[in-house]
Amino acid sequence: MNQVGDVRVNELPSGSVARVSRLLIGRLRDLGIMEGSLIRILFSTPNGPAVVETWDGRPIVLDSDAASNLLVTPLSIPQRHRRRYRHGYGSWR
Amino acid sequence: MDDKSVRRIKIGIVGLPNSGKSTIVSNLSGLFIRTANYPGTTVSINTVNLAIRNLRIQLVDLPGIYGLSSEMPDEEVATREILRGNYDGFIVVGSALSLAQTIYLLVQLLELGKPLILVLNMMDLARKQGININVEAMRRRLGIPIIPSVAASGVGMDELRKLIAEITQSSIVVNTKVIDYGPLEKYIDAVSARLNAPRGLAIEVLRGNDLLKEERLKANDIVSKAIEEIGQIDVFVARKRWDFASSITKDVVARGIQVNLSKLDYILLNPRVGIFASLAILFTLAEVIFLVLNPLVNYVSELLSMIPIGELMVNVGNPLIRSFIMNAVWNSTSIVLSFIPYVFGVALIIAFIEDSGLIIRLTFPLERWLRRIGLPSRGLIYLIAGVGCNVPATSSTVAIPSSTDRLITALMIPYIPCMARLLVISLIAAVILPSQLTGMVMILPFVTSLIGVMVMSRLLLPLLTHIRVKLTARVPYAYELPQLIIPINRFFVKKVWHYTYEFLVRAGILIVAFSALMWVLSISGPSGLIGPEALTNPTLIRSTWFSLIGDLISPIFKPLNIPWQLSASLMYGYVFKEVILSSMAVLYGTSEEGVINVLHSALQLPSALALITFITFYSPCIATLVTETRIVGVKLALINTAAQLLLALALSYIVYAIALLVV
Repeated sequence: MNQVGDVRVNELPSGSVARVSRLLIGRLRDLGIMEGSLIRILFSTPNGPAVVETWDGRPIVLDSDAASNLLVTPLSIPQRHRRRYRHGYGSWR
Repeated sequence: MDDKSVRRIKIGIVGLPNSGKSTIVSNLSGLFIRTANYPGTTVSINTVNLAIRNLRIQLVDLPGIYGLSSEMPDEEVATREILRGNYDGFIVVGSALSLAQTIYLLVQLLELGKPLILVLNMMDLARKQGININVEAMRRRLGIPIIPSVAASGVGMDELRKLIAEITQSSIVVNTKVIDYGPLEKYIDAVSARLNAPRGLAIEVLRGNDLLKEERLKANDIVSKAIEEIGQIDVFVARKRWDFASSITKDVVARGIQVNLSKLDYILLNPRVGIFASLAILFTLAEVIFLVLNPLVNYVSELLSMIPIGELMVNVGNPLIRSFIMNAVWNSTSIVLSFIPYVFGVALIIAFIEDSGLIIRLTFPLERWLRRIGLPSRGLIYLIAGVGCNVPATSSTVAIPSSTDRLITALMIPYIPCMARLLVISLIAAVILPSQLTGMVMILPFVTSLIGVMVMSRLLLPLLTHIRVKLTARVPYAYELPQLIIPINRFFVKKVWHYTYEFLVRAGILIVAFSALMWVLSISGPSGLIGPEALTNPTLIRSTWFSLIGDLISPIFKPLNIPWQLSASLMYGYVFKEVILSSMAVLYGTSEEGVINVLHSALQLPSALALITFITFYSPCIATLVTETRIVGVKLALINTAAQLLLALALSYIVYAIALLVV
């Protein structure tokens, strides 16, 4: 079961910073995305693909399935999206 | 040379996806190997032979991998070769832009204990980004030869050649214990001793690598104990390896961590505006290329018209031979020659799309929408690769792990206009559209093919479950974003030249051969030989085989105001798209310039647009159909081909109706 506060990476808006809480696909480990590591979400589309930045600055493209299988704990969400995200209504776009 | 003094060795080229492995092999061997700026260009093993002094080296170019876990078929091919292949050594190709990722992979190769050389490619791009790597310090830490290189311009290749010759000598000694795995060490030693296998293989057995199931069974008791003590071994090992990669990166790289994205990336990858920005770049590029090429097109035409072919043929007494040389051979040859500027222009655009990294930027904002119609993100890359040629793109789909994704991608590739189709389309567009709008030719086929893919994937996806019993679930895909670059280097030039040359030679032979066949069909009919007069006599030509074939399909095109000669020519496109224009030339008894004039007078703008739409995807050529059949099976391939024809007809009627309203 997911920890409280864990969300899929493509549920967070672009510009968010998050800590990886759970990987549902092992392949991401080979790309440097590990449980506990910090990532910045460079681009994200709701339930779609995402581009995340790893600790060493590499941009990793995740397709919709990979992005939906990467659970993260949000650490910071850009100001303009915060209210919508917190109240969970509509799309943050 | 004495055969006894000749030594034979086998070297594997292993590296990160899109790090320039194939470019290095191409550099070393002098052969042209297809490369592109996106991951997954090499999906199978390419072998080239190289001779250095008394060494005969077999270089094996393996598909790119990030590590020895294998979740994709192409990665599995590479991993199996690395773990089980009989190699004398490895060349590990890494990227200076992704040093930590390079070290992460390198460590896994080092642990296998084979001699290896690290080629740190893309040093020029790294320097541009302010990444300064202390290669000497890296050599000291890792204890292996490291060559900083720029493979695209040949930098570092001489040094690499020298080191390859020494790879099996004692000067290259590998330290397999670069990482201390702490509590796992005793289990690594135990598995290694039990299986009599190198350290790296023992670690992979403990990690649970799917390719080493047999070995795991033999050491099951040790593995179980290790899991009991350590927990998830793959997570533990990956963490250790990344810690090591991170520590070396911090020691040898003098710069702060910064994201490898350009300002343009922020626009192109933006989910809202990215797709429009990418299309604008493509459109501008196509416009500029065709505007620049326009004078060249005119120059070639003028040059061809200066050749007094009619006068030269006066001395040929036999009218049949004269007609054969003029109508079948000369007309088709002049078409091939006049193709050159167009072929060059299309080759330039395709090579740019492939090498600039724009392909990934195009797929990213589109993926979400294409997912909704059942297309995978990785499949999208093959669809765009199909612009070059549908055949290799279709056969590359074997690398897609999920059968649903693989089948739907292979079925959709024939809807993408290939270079041959684009060429015919660009010629029609050049004749019909004002010169300022010729670049539009690059947009219209893509827009219509996108509509085609959207409609057909929706229709065909449910069919898959009925026709193919075994369908596997989707496999998530992740990869490092390739750099956005302006690909002006000798490999780009070589690629454009290769595409142009290949197309002209292949198409040239086909066009001349088919023109000869069509000439025969145009001067004979059910009543026997009619003679070359049929080519110039509108009454006589109606009795020929060609006319009869045209009559079969002309009713379909009559409402679109497309003359029967043009619709008959389309029939031959089923064999090869390249022969559409030459068959028009034979049918109208004219040369390349004549075809342009004929098209100009025979087609109004709405009909031309309908024709362009129809040609975009009315059928795959024979080679694509054969490849498609191999991947999807006969039944699906035939259904798809029929569906393509119906959709092409429907869309060309829609385009015609819209054009009539607008124009």
